[in-house]
Amino acid sequence: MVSIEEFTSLLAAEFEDIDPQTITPATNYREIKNWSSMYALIIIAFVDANYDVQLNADNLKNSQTIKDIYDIVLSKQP
Amino acid sequence: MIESLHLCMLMHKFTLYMGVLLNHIATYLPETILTNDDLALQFNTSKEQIFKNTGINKRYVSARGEISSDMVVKAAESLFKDKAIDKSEIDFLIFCSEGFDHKGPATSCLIQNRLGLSTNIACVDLPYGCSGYVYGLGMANAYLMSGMCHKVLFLTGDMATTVIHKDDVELKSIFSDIGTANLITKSSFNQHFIFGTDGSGYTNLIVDHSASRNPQTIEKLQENNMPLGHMKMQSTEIFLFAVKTVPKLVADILKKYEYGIDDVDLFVFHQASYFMLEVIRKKCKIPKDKFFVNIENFGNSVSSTIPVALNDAERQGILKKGMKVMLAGFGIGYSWGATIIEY
Repeated sequence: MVSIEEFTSLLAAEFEDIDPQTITPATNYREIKNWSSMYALIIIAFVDANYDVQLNADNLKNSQTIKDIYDIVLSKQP
Repeated sequence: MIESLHLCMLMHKFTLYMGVLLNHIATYLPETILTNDDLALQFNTSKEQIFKNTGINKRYVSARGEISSDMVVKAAESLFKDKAIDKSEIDFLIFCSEGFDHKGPATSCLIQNRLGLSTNIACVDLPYGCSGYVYGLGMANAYLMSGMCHKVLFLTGDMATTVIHKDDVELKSIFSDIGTANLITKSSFNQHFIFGTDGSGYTNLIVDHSASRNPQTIEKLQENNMPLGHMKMQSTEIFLFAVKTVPKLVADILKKYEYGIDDVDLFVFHQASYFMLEVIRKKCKIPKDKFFVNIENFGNSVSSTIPVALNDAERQGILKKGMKVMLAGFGIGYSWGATIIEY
């Protein structure tokens, strides 16, 4: 598994229209400017494609920051 | 005795393995088109944002009073006319929709009469959505294989736009009303199907207040004026379901045929949303040039997306007779199904 910093920068690159510099592990992803429900789907797809981890709706409901997502991926990785 | 047994076994083998041949497909598109400009104006957003979220530029909206059966009747009439079909030979009619004329009788009975089809015909309604096209082909295949019928008219048509709340920009941006007519006979191609169901997800995509459970109330009607029901979708849940289920469905149907990705000439899946299709395509490692997507110009027309796409792909010269085409439908239910046809 990559480091939290690399995970954050790879994920930030997936968010078109959002300046990657504004995304850090502590970023509450729902508070990102221009955030829409589409970005939740981008997170799900990114994690699935790159780490073979399927997030569920509860994972998303219970997470706030990019680090929360990273920790879930770590715990679920095969 | 032994010879006749062999003959029986041979015949059994012959009849056991058959597939459907899609002779012709006709499409009916309503006159009204809902563009991204229209939506941007109505919902105070930009057309670029709507396209980014959906990958859709335009959708079709049935006229006021024009219902699913009207659309499929028009599709069937153009099929009969354009392809000079002898409609008296049709002995099985399947109407796939979630918008029927009445609770009873079956709408397919009314369509038989409206199209002037033979009275020596079996008619069924198939109340399915996004997986409905594959289900209909499966039913046609089973009836043809058993000898219960010889020529199938399979109609798909839905009017999703009539059960979307006027303020629901997400659903309005996706769904489209289109009718199709498909004439099907048997082929010698050995066809297989895979179906799956998980009703635990039913609340994530549902037309609520549309039938016996949670029936319509005066209060609800006064609140939203949606007499036919109210479609509600949890898009994240639906996305999770599709991304989890469809790649496995693709792998399973390939395994059943003992094919690899390279053995399939074209992949035509239910056109749910562009983003969802791209995620599925990448996960399945399907090359982009073999993965047909036309949601941009037609939207998500529920059970009609696959025949609309087949028709469009043929018109564009991408789909040719004899090609092996994987079809996959997935969505409301949850329900899913896949097959590979020889076009």
